[in-house]
Amino acid sequence: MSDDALELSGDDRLVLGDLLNHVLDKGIVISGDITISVADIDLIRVGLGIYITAIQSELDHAAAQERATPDAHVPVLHHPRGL
Amino acid sequence: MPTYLYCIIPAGCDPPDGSRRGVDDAPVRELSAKGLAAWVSDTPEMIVAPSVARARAHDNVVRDAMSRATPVPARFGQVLATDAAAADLLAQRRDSLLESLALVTGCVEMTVRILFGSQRAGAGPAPRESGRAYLHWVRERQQARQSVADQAEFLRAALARAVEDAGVVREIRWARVAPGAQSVESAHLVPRTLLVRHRDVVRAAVERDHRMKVMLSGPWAPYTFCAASRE
Repeated sequence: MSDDALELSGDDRLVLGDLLNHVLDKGIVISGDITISVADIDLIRVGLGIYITAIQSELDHAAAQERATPDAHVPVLHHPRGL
Repeated sequence: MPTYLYCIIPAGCDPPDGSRRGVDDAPVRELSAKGLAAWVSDTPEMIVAPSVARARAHDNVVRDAMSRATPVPARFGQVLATDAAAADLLAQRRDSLLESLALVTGCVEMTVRILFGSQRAGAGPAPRESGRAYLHWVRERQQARQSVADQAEFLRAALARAVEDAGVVREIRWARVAPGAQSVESAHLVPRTLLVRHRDVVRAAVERDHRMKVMLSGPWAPYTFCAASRE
């Protein structure tokens, strides 16, 4: 198989995008008081627009945490060939 | 004090450790209501502005709950006025919440993303010699892009068939494809015991198609499969 056939693991930006997509835009809504949903706007786009400048510092922070605690719970980006 | 909601799990599971902290470092605790348990924390305001750190904190609490049972994760930002108000809502939504718990129990979510944004779609720079040539170039580029998107959709469907045929997925949800998108996604609800098999099936399916890049991310709590709107 070509090495290009799969995106390699470690693309932290996409993992962070996935995190924001899941947490901000999905999950059950039981309250009428949710405050971040704006007229059904796609929140991942809103969220990424808002947070794009924060991503690098967050990634730096996460990398530092991972160095300190190898089992830190940053979501794993699986490479199908790598596990 | 307002109550911030992280997730809902079946009653009787181990509660969060006393050291577990959530959004803004608030201690996480369990709130019980009619056979359900919610993981919550106090928050000083009814509005919790989203941030990356808070999103991470929210997800970390949900992941902690995943170590005890399969939770129904809540969307970020749900704040109830009091514990009593939260318990009332849980009681009112009890049946639908139990349905959601039954759907996702024993499963995690894997995101399958097919990237085609970097594929070549259209040849060369825009011509400048005439308007007609330019319009022809635009049409050809649009057709090429559509072709690439169609290939990605085909692969997404092929991956879905592969995991369904192999019996390694309980349900699949297909994300909408926004105009101009550079990827297509689907969420797979995968029994925890079949995660490795699921990965292998996806890998085998991808090996048959070298044209697209495929990412598999997770495991996530089953956010996508618990997106029922409020009643």
